[in-house]
Amino acid sequence: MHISQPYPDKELLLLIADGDELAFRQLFESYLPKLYPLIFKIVKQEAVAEDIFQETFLRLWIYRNKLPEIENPRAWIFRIAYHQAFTWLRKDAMRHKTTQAFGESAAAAINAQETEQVLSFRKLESLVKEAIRKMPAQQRRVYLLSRERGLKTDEIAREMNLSVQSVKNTMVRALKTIEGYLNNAGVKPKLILALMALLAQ
Amino acid sequence: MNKEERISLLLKKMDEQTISEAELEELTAVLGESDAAETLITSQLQSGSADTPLPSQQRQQQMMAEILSADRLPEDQTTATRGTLISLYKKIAVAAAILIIAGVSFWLMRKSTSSKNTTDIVSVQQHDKEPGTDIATLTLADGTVIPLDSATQGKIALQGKTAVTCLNRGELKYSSAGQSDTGTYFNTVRVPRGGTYVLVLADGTRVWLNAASSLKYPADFTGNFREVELTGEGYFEVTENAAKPFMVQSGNLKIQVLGTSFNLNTYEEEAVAKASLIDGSVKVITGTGSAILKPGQQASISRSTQNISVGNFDTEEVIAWKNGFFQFNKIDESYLRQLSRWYDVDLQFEAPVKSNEFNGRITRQTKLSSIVDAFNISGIPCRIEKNKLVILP
Repeated sequence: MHISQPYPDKELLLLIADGDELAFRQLFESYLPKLYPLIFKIVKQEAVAEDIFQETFLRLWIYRNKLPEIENPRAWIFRIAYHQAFTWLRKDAMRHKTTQAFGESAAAAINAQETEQVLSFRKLESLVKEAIRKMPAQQRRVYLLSRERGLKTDEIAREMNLSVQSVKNTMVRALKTIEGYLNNAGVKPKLILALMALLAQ
Repeated sequence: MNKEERISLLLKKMDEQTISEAELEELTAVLGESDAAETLITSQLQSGSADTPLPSQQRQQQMMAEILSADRLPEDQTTATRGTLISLYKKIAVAAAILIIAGVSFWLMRKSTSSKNTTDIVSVQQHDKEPGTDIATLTLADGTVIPLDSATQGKIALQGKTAVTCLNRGELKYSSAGQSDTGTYFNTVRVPRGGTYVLVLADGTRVWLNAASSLKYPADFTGNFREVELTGEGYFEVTENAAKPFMVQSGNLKIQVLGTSFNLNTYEEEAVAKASLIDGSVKVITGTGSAILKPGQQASISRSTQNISVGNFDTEEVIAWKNGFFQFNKIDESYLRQLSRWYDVDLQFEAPVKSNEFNGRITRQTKLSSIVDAFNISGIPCRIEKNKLVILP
């Protein structure tokens, strides 16, 4: 992929939608030099910029089966990243205010409480894991066979004695489960909800 | 002021760190409106950001590895779901009791009918399963995952001052590389179903890992203790060092060692965990108590109550797996689960297994079909179906 290319290859997105880790890695590597400097320009801290980039790509991975339907994936990815960066700036400003009003110790206490929220990647990660643990057994099994043992749809079908179509359906439901769980936990920003709603039409 | 100019102004204030919260909200709202706003923001941010240093290659790899492991479940799930696990074991215990009762009545009912269907089963082995092999994955401290199989050989990583070398025949060795880095680097070896692996830790301790098991350990033992974490089953030959006790943690269970050989079986699907001491001395510690073992003694730790009971054990039987054998004294579900893990098959019980006398020692290099044939001849009807071992009535 070239930087000049406006959108990632449709083919690459189809592979990613199918759970292809190599294709996803390729997307990650081609976007890092394009997007990371822009996030850094907003937040001005390496660790925060890395966290936001990571979180953006974890979201992408969780919504992978929707990628091929998105009209302008590049814009979609950048918007998610900007949204996270702006949100972080707002929280950071609030922390500064607290420091000024109540002194360092109060701010430190609030900081500690908010560490989870500040480290958005970790928070998202733990929610994703929680969602998988709460999946119905069969769904979880199909999902983990794919993710942990890297089995393809037909291999999972054979392993579990199911039809290929029912494995496909289960994978779609599994991703929906995770998505639904994230929605309920309120971590999906309004923007992404709006983008999703557009897609659903 | 048009929209373009407005966005430009807001971004300038953001860059100068003079932007207000309200203005940030405005910017966020604009972003939500259209892809066009994104184009404007992107082109503004691009100016002067070309030479921003990127995260190092190693950091990028780590970021990627963390994303891809986010939707997998960690090995130490026991800690996260201990509550549900304990109740699961209660359910298993109840189910097992029902199975035993069902088994006995079934056996009583069947006594009168002849077992005519065993002979025709022997010939129906269309599917077969190859035995397990020396495979595992190694996760380095930075999250990099290295597959360990016959293709991986030689020095594969440097963790602080410790070199990681992959030897022939499924062995991973840690040895000092003489550098001065004293950081602690945790590595994890995960063995899948159908695998086995041997580790030589930095202190010379050898650990054999059975199928569906993992070990987490520091590349070098820098602290006052040598601490490792096990899931599944491992056989340990611990290098003696009284000044630095060796500790194995597995869920709530802790084994404290001076210098010794012992086997630790902590598979979650088994109702009891078993620590079996070959020689030396170990202390078994649970949440509710502890026991010191003498050579030849085995501690059985109930998953539900954490109670420890100490008895004798058949050494040959317990460490047969490590020497490349299955040793059966009678067939029960626990033995069948050994087969399940080694041949990477699921078990399906169409009838409770008849806890038959079956003395035997079979090399683990046998194909599953041969074992199934032996079972059938010995009056334990079963067959292989795709990725399942089906126990028949």
